Amino acid sequence: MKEISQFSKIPYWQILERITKSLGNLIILLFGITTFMFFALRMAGDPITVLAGENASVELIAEINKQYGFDQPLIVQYQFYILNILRLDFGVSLSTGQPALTYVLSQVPATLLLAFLGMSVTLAISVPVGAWLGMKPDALSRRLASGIVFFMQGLPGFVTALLLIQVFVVQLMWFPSLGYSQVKAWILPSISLASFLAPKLVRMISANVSEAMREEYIRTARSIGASEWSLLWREAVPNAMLGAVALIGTQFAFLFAGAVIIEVLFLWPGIGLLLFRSAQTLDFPVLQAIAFVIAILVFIVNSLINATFSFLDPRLQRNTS
Amino acid sequence: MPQVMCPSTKLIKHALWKQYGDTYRFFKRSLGVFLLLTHHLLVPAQAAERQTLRMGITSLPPTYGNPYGATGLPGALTWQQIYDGLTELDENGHVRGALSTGWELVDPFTWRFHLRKNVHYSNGMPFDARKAKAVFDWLQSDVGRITIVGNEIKVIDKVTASGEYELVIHTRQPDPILPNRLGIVMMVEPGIWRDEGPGAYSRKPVGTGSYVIDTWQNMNGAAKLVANPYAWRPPHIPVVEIFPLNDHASRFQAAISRQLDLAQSIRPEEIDIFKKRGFDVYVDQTKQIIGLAFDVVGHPNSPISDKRVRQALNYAVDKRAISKFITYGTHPPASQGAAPGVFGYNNSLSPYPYDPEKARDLLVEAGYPDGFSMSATVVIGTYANDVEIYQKVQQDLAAINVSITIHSTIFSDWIQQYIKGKWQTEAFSLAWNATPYNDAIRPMEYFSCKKSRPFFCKKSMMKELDRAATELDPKKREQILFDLQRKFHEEAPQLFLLEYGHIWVASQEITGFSLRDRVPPLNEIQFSEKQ
Repeated sequence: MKEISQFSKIPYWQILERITKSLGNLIILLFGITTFMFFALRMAGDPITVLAGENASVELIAEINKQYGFDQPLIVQYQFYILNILRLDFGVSLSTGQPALTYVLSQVPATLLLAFLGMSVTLAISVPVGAWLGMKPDALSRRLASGIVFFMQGLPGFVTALLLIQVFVVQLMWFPSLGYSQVKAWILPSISLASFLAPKLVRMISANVSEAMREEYIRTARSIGASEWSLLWREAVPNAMLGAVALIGTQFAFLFAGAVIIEVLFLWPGIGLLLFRSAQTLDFPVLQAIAFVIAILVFIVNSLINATFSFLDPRLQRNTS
Repeated sequence: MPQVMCPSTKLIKHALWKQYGDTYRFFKRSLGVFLLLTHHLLVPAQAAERQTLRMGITSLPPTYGNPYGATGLPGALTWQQIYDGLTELDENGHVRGALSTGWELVDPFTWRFHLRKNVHYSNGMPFDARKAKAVFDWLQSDVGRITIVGNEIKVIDKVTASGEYELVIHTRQPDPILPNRLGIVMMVEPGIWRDEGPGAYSRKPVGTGSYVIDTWQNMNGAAKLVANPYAWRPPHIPVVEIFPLNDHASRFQAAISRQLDLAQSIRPEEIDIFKKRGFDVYVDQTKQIIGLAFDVVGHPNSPISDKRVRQALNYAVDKRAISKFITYGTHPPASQGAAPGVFGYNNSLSPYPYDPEKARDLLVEAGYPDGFSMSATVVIGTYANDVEIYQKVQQDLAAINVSITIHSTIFSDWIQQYIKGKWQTEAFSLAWNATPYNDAIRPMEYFSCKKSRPFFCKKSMMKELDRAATELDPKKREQILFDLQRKFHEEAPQLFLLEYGHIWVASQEITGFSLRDRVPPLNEIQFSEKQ
């Protein structure tokens, strides 16, 4: 109670300072990412030749370049680009003519759903399995299970995805592998993501639980007759989760940006799939908007994780105040 | 009679329970929850009457509903369902009317097209000659002429509507393939196109085709098409979902698990698997000739600038083995820069036979008795099993002491080198592609001085090429193309490999599948009675 009352007494200017600092960091991050994307994409190739096709003459390409402003010096293009971004105008997709940012934002819900599902399955697996492993880490069954977890950690998500598709889609025909219109279609992509994310979290939770179970207060509680399961779930696991929150945040960030292959394999129409397609046609405006949106999503998740940390560990609030 | 357990068994059971009881209970509970959650998901839904045809292809049109940003595949697979051109190619590759019912040549520079009556766009607006003229006018405007289709019809000088359903087209030079050319000019609704611009139009296209776009991406990740209520060729199946599955494994798995009724670009080795599962397999007869083109212009001092060396390389590669063992006989060896069925295909020519001895003799004759080294730039993944094909080429050339290093690249990089004509390597992957006109002249022009920044330029052949491009008498023109094919065969500007066509699979639940210029007309497909 003492800590909570201290938190409520944080002066408003300190909260304002924290928010301003965070926003400052966000602006620097966005500026860095957009600038990097601008120059990196220009080095990657010329989108006009890709769009113009193999029948185009050099003269025709020059004309199209002029129309899109790609004939201007790079620094002039960059100035226009930054000025437009300040107005949240990323231009239009070179392929579809659709405003790039709107196009990308229309894909965000699908990616958020996949991230949420992936993380839910990850947590549903990691917390009980991590707790179980950490409870008696030296038992033979736990050692065996740890070996499996270790093996799974080295298995890329897409390999699991292909195996799952082969078994449950091709052979058994239990689940579909295209899109997300049916609840059935959510299962395999979520498991594929979880198969890659869960092992790391299992190992962390298991190590934290194992450490917690050796703490003085647990031994004391055990000596006065508290059951093992009660000690595990009421005392050790909540403490273990504190350390795992940071990893969960990182994994969420990965899901926003890194679930590309899973989205491609399951034709999940999210940001990852759009990223894959836009990269094939070097659709600069869309790729730049994707980087921008992902940066903001990751920033939001990190901010939420920091807030969660403060909530879970009152010592952090005290330090801040 | 009560069962009596021996004391030692009881002891072991007790010990095991003590050791693993927690684990057992934990997994028992978890399994219970899992089964409860998933049980209803695994119960198959009651089969409903099929209303949706599902087609898996490599990609949706990169420009969505803007049909002027590309020609051929993959765009045509979608555009030809929502738009029509004035003409189209039939199953045998012959040009016939679509939005036009016929045409005649008024003079060498003037064509008259008679348009189909009672045709309406998907918004109910009627189609007539004024609309068609407006489409051509836009394609000839400053913005339109730099589109790919605008560039393809630059031979057109002027278009006039001489009646409500009569269109007169004036060309800058006699153009024998103008009717074929018009097949790629999809008729958009020019008023909306002008008012909304290509960007907005591409998202909600209005055409005269059998279907209309409902959404470019539904929750299945597919483009959803619904029947056009005003279609002059109404479809049998009211809804189509087109799944863009770029990844081959995804396409295969979706098709074999019956999530698709139709799938494009299946690998030859999968044909038997599909047949065993009751699918029909079709090999597209509109084929292109795949191989390695030689950059003779860019490498004038290289051995490949000598015709005998290019011929030697053609003799050295065992194309029949490639066809038989790598493509399972689906793609036969190529004899020339066109496949059977293409106008101008010379059936008196045979593929270069596999003759390493003759190849060695030609190399000696050309002054390379010890062979030489060269390199090639290729795009991997364009054709099924292309890695294995290039490995076999490498192996066969090594047998005549020609060491070829294969550099793999991506399409975006390849096309930049192709358009700029700047190749670092002596050879590069390039197909003789007669689509979308199904006429041999088109690929021949790329393998000639006519190409902007050419890689192979034989000035002595230009006169004949010009004649083939302008000769209006089909018989005479065909003869010119035959002669040119023979000359290209002798000049060997490419290491000719195979006649390549896409392999399609169709579920036996559907009937009426066919391919026209590599595209299935979906309006003709229907679900079979059996389903």
